[in-house]
Amino acid sequence: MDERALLRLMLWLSPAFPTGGFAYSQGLEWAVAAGDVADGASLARWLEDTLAHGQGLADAMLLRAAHRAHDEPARLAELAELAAAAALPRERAEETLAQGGAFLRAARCWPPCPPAGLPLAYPLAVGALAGLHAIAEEAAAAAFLAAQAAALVSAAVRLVPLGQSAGLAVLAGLEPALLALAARSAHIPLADLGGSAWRAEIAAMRHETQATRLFRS
Amino acid sequence: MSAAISRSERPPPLERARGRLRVGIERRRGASVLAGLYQEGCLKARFPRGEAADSLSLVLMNNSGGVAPGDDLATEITLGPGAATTVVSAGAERFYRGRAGEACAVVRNRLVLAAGATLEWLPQESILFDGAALDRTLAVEMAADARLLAVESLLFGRAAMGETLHTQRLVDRLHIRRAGRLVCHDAVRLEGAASAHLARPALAGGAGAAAALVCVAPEAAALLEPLRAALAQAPGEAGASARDGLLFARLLAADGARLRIGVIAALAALRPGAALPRNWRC
Repeated sequence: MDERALLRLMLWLSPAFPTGGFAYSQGLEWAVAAGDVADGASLARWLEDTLAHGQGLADAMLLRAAHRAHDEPARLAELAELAAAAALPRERAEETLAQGGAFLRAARCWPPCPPAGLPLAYPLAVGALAGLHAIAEEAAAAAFLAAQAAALVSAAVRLVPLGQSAGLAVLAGLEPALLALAARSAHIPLADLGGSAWRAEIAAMRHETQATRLFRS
Repeated sequence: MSAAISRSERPPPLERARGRLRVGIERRRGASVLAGLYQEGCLKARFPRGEAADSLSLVLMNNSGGVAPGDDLATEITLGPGAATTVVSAGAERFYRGRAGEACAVVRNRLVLAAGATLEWLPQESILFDGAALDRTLAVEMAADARLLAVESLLFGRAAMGETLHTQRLVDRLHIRRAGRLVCHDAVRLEGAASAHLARPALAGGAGAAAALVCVAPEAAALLEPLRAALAQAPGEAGASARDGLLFARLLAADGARLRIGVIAALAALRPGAALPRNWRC
């Protein structure tokens, strides 16, 4: 991988890139309140599963599809429709569309950019931009998943609460799962976009009515 | 539910089954009537006298005695403008193991709703036996002002009674297009050691049964609060959410009997004033 591609992925997916990622927990806030996530071990298990069988898998599949369609606006529009239709919990849809929009606005400083006016979900926006910049699809998928995992661990550190080093240990431990997921996401047809992380999905929906909320999802 | 499961311990069917069913329903003089019917192979339709005159009752039947890998089933129901139907199944459908190397059972269900049409898709549970392999799609194309209520309940074999379930492969898709636009895309995907998989907290937390419920209608969002109130009383765990004329819920329960209590409560909230279809009454 060339240094310029590495540099761009690091910048675009850094917590400092203004996508507002710190505001979302993907239902983790509910899982903590429900007692499903209470320490490093339960956090690791929850994240491994939601990444591999839930939103992580869906995001990686969408990112790869947008990467391949980066110069086909009609195909990107279809993918935008698919991503929105697959984000069934309302807050999940709001999260991915708000982050995608914010990502595209910030990415204008790195032309060429995906066509304006398409409501691209976050992984689609990242995939399309990476494709336009000839950054390898596999690398972009792995980097995106790592950034999502880091954002969720950071949310859990605040919510559980967990010590900084316990959070980092979870993140380090997720590495094989993230790499395996990035690779696996290349081989699943988009018609099968979905999964089996149902309790994480229920968590995302129940979060809408959670009494005390720090996060928007 | 448990009685139904234990009764089905007969060996899986050896013959591969093929079935085709096409039903057309139209609204004539204020009533929904059968306008076309094609039945081939193991799939049949029955039309019991309905409880509401403006809606046609449709019962789907599979005479093959259960679905096995290699089976090929396709059903298509088309509703003309203003037509209404409630679709149920004659019983729970059983999905059996196949012989090694055999393909998935392929089930394709397609619903087409013209302007102002109303369709309720309320089949009974799909029971997955150890070794089941199923590739199923429910594809809906509906006009902007049509109404759809659909539920799919999956029972993971007798896993709830301590039996270990492996699926060779399960993909169960739900794709809904309204006015040409994809508005709902869900796919349940399970492979391999399903029981161990379902035990994990972020997946099914040990539940042995899961249901997806979706309502697409202009007034769908207004049904969210009644639905949530109904689900809060149900056994197991559930969540519901609504946006853009689409209401979605996922239910998990320890077993089929408990799942059914939740699904029935949800249907009562989503069909205020309507009697539960006969096949759903315990």
